[in-house]
Amino acid sequence: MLVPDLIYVLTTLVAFALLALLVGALGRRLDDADAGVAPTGPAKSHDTEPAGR
Amino acid sequence: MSAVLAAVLQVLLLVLLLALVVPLLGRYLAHLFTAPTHLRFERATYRLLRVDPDADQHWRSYAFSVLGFSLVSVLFLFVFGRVQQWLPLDIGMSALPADGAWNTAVSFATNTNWQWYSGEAAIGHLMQMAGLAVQNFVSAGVGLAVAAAFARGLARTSAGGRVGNFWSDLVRVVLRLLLPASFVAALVLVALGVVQNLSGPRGVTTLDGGTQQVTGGPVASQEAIKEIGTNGGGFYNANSSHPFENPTALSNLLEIFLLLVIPFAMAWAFGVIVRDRRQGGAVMAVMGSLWLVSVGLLTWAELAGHGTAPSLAGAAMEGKETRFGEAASALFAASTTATSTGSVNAMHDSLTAPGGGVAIVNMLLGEVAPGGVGAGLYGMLMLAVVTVFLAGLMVGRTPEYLGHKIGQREIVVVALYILTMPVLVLAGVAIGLTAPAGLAGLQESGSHGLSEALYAVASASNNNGSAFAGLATGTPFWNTLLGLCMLLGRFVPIVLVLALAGRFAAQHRVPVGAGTLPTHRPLFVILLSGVTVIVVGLTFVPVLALGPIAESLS
Amino acid sequence: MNENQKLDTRTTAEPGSDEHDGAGPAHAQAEYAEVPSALLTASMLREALPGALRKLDPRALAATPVMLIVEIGAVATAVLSIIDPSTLGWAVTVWLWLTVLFGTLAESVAEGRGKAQAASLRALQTETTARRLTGRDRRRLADQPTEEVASTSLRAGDLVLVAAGERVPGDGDVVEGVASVDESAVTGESAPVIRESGGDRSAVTGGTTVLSDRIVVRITSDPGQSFVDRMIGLVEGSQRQRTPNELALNVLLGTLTAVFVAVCISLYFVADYSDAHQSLLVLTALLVCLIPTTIGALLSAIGIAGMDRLVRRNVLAMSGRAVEAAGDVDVLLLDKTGTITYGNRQASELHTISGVERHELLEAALLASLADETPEGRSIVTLIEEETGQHVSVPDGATLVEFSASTRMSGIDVSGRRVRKGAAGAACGWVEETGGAQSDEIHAAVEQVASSGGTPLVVAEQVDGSPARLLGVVHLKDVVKDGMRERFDQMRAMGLRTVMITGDNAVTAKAIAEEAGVDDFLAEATPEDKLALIRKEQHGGRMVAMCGDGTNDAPALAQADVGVAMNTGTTAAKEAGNMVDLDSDPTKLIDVVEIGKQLLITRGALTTFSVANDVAKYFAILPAMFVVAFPGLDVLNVMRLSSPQSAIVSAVVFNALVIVALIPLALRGVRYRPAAAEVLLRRNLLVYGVGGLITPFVGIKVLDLLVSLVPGL
Repeated sequence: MLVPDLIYVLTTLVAFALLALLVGALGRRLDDADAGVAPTGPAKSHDTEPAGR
Repeated sequence: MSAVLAAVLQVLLLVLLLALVVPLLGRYLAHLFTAPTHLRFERATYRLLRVDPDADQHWRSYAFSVLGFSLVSVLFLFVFGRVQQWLPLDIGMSALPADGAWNTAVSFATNTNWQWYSGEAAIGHLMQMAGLAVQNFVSAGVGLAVAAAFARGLARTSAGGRVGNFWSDLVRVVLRLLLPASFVAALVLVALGVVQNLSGPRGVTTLDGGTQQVTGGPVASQEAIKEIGTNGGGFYNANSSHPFENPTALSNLLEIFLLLVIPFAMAWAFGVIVRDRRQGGAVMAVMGSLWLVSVGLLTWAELAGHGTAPSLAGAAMEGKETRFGEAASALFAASTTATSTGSVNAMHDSLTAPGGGVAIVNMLLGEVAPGGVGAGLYGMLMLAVVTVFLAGLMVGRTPEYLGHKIGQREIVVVALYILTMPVLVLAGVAIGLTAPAGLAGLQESGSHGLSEALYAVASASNNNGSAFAGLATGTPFWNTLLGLCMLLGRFVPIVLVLALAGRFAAQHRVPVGAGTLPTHRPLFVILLSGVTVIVVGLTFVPVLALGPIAESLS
Repeated sequence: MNENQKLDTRTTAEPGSDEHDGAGPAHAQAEYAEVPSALLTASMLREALPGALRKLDPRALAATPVMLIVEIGAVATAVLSIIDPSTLGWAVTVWLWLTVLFGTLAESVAEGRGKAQAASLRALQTETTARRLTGRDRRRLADQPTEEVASTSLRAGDLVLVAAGERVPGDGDVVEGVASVDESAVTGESAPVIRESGGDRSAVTGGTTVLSDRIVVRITSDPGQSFVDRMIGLVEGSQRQRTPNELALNVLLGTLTAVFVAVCISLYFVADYSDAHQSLLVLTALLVCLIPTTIGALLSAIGIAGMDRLVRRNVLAMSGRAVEAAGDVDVLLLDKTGTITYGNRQASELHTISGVERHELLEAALLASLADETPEGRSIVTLIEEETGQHVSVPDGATLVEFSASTRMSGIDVSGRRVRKGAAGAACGWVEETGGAQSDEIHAAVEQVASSGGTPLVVAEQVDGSPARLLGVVHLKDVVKDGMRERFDQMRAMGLRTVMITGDNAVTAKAIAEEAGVDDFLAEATPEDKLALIRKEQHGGRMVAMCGDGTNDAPALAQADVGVAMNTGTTAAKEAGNMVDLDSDPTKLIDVVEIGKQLLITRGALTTFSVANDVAKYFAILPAMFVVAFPGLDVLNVMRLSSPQSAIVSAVVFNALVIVALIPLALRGVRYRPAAAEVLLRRNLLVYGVGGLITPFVGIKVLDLLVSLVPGL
């Protein structure tokens, strides 16, 4: 009786854990870059300057 | 009055009503999502929840709040379904099976409101009111909150990825919009003849002398939020074709109005939030024209009534309510599938083959025309970003939308969004039609069986919740498969939408000039509509060809 | 070098010519119009074939997922056809391989166009002997002892002596001496240029030849890093890095591919359920037809060709990013001199005063200028000769009075008559000295000329020792090049703002800015002002392009999103910019922007075309796949293709041939005409969107008529 309950609770937890991992992965991919500089700017030394140059 | 004239008149009346209410409601929604002040009873709620409503959340923090809240919702509903027989007002209902309870929990927490059960024969009053009805409010609130976060992300620049406060969005939208609106709507519905009581099943003697169990209950209150929140989970299995839920042609029109009004108003609110109403107008124009086209097509399909039986009967009336007739059923069917509501006033399994096809395509559009509350707006905006990317290249600039550049990082997020739903639907259909347990649930074989499975999976993956009614879905296999479709079809896109919102909110604004592609003009409206239709068409035409199209042409 | 040379002479002839400036875009089109015939020839294909075959290596294809999928599909169908041979199987297999090959061929052809240039550049790199300075005493550098070393062993910082007739062994700056240098090997410009130490003309390029004198050069690059090395890498495409928009587009194409893979896999199961079993062969054919192979195959060729177009205009971009950024530029900073105006002031008008006959003024001004070899002087002569219609030469026995900084006047003495022209203060002073009368009219005319942005020259004469008298005022004017206003109007339509940079005062600057039609100007500009302006624009989110040549331009060039350094400029400027213009023509900036836009438009247009093609392919393949199980679906066979097999093969063949058909377009770039965004979009949508919907219906039908003749299909 309790086995299927457990399976579904676990499924739910795993699904949300994966979603949380997705948030983390996207965060690493999107947020590490210097968001202030347009992503298409030419490769120049000032690319590394902080936002609002 | 001819059937066609009646069909046109009711659509005109509906459009008129919407045109009156949408701008007002849109402004109100925009105010709700941007005003800094809190109401007193809201402050009390925040204290209760122990959250700081003034904290401007980073998109990740916002996403974790959404996920955390929804996880709790799913688990709570799951337990509720498993123990409802021990709770008050159970009106003799037993516990839901584990797979069914999970499916229902996911279904209501994702604003899908897919129902594998007959509401009146499986769910007690307490679960209806404290479980399902609560989710009707808050799951709608989650969708609206995410859309608001996205609109704010687009409106902001150099904001370090902050997109607003989830708790304040959720509480405000429930307390200031959904509750009062539902209260008023419920009263009107009661006035129009919808049932509202707490009685259990009672036996009545029918006209021909037989006896029938009729269940009363808190129907009107749930009916209101069912439509307003584009939920669609009916109190009765027959949903809005049940006379206790939808007694008259007037209540029918009111319900259609209620399920359309917030999705359209969100587009207006978007324009206000980004401080350029024309942008909201363009989005609304795309939503509106796609909706009108689907209404037109579905009405045509039903009135034309292909097949031998309909021609003999004079109309394709099987499975439809004689109280409303074909045109009102077609309008309801087109609107409910185009808005991710999923309530029905006719059995969609009984729509003509092309009519059923239109309903399926409506859902496969990704619920964007006008889509679910909130979800429709962010879905359409994601498509707008893709369109801007393609069109932007064609005008010779790095594509930009509302002053935000769309580079590689942004397009990765959008690409994942675009990929999610088709993969869920196609994989779901393939699995459902291959696994013996899946095939066992199909009522019919051949093209119509394929349509049934496609409909169910499309409905779940797009959080619509309407059913074709030909599929016996109350099996562990279908409950689990569709549950996964609903869960992933809701939250993967939400995470991606919030990520893009954060990304946009972190960017510098690109000033708009003559070289910038205008996104509020008719050309863009046409292009965005075209992209929406073509992307969906290219993805699903093969499956549709074997299902509704083959059926229509045979 | 032949082709390069030919193109170069044309481009270098342009800067001064009116016709070029008057009709920039029209000119560009004329140039493109004549290229297509040579864009794709049989011999080019033959030469490109070995390279194309090498590129079939899956590791090389991995960068373009779309083409990798096609290759995997081709392998799969080959295996299937070997196991179960059929005409359909082999036809599909062959054409899938051809699809991949056409893609690599496109890239190879694009690279091949740079190969000829690269080969001639390589010839410059043949090892020469360099004379490296060994000593460091007080004598002039040129007199220091030297040792002979191989040019390849030179390192940055080495000093070398180069004398007339010798080749400069490496990139560097002249640190001592002046020499005329033949740079034609690099720039194609045959006229020798002067290179001297200090100032903004000090850079020399390795491989160029010193024609006269001797210079000491400080080498600035290590072996393999030189300008010519970079140029070779650029024209060959070997150093090409994928640009941001290209990467983003690749993501989108990958997504579409993934969707279609999902479609085809799911279709296998769904078709099974529907009792319409589909072979892997047919599903692979469907997959290849659906994924965006057209743009996938041409994407890299478009990028290489874009760089190539720049090279053909003698502009070297140090990175593809810069080319793409050029398309995004919002603000163009243009130096007034040489870009907007001809650079030399020219006489435009003569103002007489009362009491002086016009012919008196004309004659005096002409006399005073006859021996004046400055451009201003010549322009006065031209203006007067045009008015009088007579040609006059310097009278015999005349004494030329040269301009000097102290007198600020020039003129001529002939048979007791002294004629002078000069700055207002100087000329009036001279008249006063001789006891001549001042004139309010002269002052008024001077004021008027100055306030209109011109330079006034006052003309006066003294006859036989009597007091000199004032005759009139010559209006010298910065002449704006013909057609600049139209060009700026076009740029405004494109959304570009033009800012004129000048050292002139605000009054002059304003007058010229108004005449030329630029949006804004920066007067009395110092390099710091320029830098500050760029920073300000960038802070507002705008992308800025500029060109410059001097060392003091270097910071601004580095700060600008697109910095075009003049080849005549200093090494510092060239290092700071991300493009070098070999012709040193500042108007090139405008071409660069257009090429950048054209690059993006070509990608967008071909993507749209590719996706739009899918509609027709569905109409061809879906009925073919399912008509046996569902006869009703024959209605969808709108093209009335002869048989299911023929339909599938026709779609696959069309898919492959369309790549070949579009190679010229990819290499040439789609036509670009400066216009507002919506106008561009509407036109490109009509041509490539609607065109992309219709073309395959016609193409597949025609192919079907041919394919149906093949027995077994």
